[in-house]
Order: sequence, then C-alpha cells, then structure tokens
Amino acid sequence: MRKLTAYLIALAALLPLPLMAQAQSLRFATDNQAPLMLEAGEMIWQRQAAQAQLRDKARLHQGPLDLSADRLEIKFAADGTAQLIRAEGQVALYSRGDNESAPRRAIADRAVVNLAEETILLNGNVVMHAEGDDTAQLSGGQLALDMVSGRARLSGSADKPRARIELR
Amino acid sequence: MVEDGRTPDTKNAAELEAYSRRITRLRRILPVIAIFLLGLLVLAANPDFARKAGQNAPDGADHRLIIDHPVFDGRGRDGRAYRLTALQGTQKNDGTMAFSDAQMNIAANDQKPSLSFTANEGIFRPPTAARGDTAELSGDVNVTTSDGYQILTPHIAINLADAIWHAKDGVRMKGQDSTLRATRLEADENKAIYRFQNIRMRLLPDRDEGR
Repeated sequence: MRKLTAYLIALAALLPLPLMAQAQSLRFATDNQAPLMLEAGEMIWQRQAAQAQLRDKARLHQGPLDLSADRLEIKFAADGTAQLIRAEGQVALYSRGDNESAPRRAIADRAVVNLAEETILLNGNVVMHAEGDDTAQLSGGQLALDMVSGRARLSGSADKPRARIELR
Repeated sequence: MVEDGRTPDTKNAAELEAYSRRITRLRRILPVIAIFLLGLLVLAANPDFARKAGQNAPDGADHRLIIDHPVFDGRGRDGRAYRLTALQGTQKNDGTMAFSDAQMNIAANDQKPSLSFTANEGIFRPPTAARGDTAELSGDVNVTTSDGYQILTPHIAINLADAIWHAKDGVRMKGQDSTLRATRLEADENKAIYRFQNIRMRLLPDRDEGR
C-alpha cells in the first residue's frame, strides 16, 4: 500500500510537466538599449532591393545576446533603417546571463529578428538548455523571445505540436 | 753654344712623328665624340627619353601640360553623366592626367542616387581599346550619396564607363542609423550592388516605429 501511495505521489508530481512544457516561459538576459552589432566575412548590399546578405561567420550581438548563423539577411525600410534580420543555417542564440537569469543557449534551423517589434523568433528543431546544466534540455518547434523583457516562450509547431523537457 | 747631342733634323722628325700620331688619334676620336654629343642632344630634346612618367613626379619634372581647373565630362553606360574637376591637372607622358583637390560627381537617375567624390589627389586615364575612362582618387577620399550615406577611404579606383569602383584599403561607411567598417569594397553602381569584406556594422534600430 505504501509503495502504491509513493508511486501515485510521484506520478502526481510528474503529471504537470508535459502541460508546463506545452508553453514553457523562460527568461534570457537582454539589453534592448544596446546597439546591434553585426559581423561577417562578407556582406553584399543590394541597394535597390533594400536588403543585405551576410555570409562567412555571420554574427549579430546586442548587449548580452549573441546570435550566429551561416547566413544573415537584413531587410531595410525605405528610409534605410534596418527592420528585419533573418538567420539561416546552424542558428545559435546565446545569452550570457545576468543577475536574474542564467546563461542560456538555444539552437534552431532559422531565426527572425524583428527590430521594429523587438522580438526574436527561433524556428525549426529548437533545442535549448541552460549553460553548464546538461541534465535538462528543452526542445520544441519555436522559441519566441521578447528583447525588451527577456521573456521567452517555447512552444510547439505544426510538426512538433508540443514542447518537451528532457531530463537526463 | 751648348750641344745636346741631337742634331736639329732628328729632333724635328721625332716631334713631327709624335704630332702626327696625336692628330691621327684625334681624327679617329673626334667623330665618335661628335656622334655621342649629337645623340645626347637628341635624347635631351625628347622628354620621352628624359625620365619615365610616374604618378608622383616631383614638381617641375615631366610636365607636358599644366591645366588650371581642368574639367572632364563623360557619360556612363547607364546614361548617367559624370564630371571630374580639380584645382590643377598635369598631363603625363603616357597621356594620363594627375590632378590635385579632385572632385567628381555622378548624376542621379530615376532609380539611383547621385554620388559625389572628393579627394586630395587623383589620376584620370583616357579610354583605351581595352577599357573605358578610369580614374583613381587617393588621400582622404570622401564619397557622399544623395540618399544620406557617406563612405571614407584612403583610395578608390573607378571605372567610369561601367560605374564600378573598388576601395581596397578599407572603408568606413555611415548611414542614417548605421556605421560600418570593412577591409574592402567593390561597388557596381549599375546593378546597385555593394560587396564588402570583413565587415563590422553597428545598427541603431528605429525605435519610433517600435512598440
């Protein structure tokens, strides 16, 4: 009977995990007041198309946030202001952390940085874990990060309807 | 009277013989010297032989023609007019024109903004069979566009006919909300494509349109 009770208690404790994982709320260290810095081995600016492609070790960083990818594409508004940055190929988002949040790393197939709305959306095979903690890993279809508050939301997508927590 | 042991006849004969040898030798040498001097005169009269034309010729050397406030007008393949002006130009022996305090403008059209280049020095090369007009600007080259960009570089080579320019010694570019540094720039004005290498760009997002 005791064993059964212990088993039920353990089951009850584990039950909310999948529900929580459906929309995990997390926090990344961000600084939306810091300037955006871009680096790459090559940049091709197509002036009339109002866009620029960055290749060869393309990197974007703003304060504690660092985004790297095989390719970055910047879309400019009519007045020349950068509006959107798309990242493709081995996208990695790294946050160095601050007093409130631990350093975190997320990888994905693609990302979109919306500079007007100050959001980052990681898409496709998103895997995230806290730096130095290999025991737990979160995965899902997409990760939406608010660059103002630092709040991130991991959720499923059409091919991966649920986010997952993997305990090792 | 003291006798020196020689008879006057033999003394005169020896002197005459030596004198004759000197005359013969001079008659052989003098035409060679004359030809040599004539050759030097010909070379001195022709500046093409005096010194090979160089870009940084010192003042007073290799000047064929000095023009105050020269103006070069032309038109690129895309129909845009360009004008290159300078404080002073000096034509070199190979036909190129070196100038100081250069300024060049490429006019705008419906799709492209105008460009204005200024530089401390420059070289204009007239067209050849292999290429069209080309110009090189060096020393604090400043490029500004009518849509608000500024590019600073120590040297730019411009193919005026094709509107292609290269800055191989590094560039700094400033936009309305951005600054950029690159080690190299190749710009194709006809296609409006700019290829930068090893860039580091700083963007200031447009916060007015943000949340």
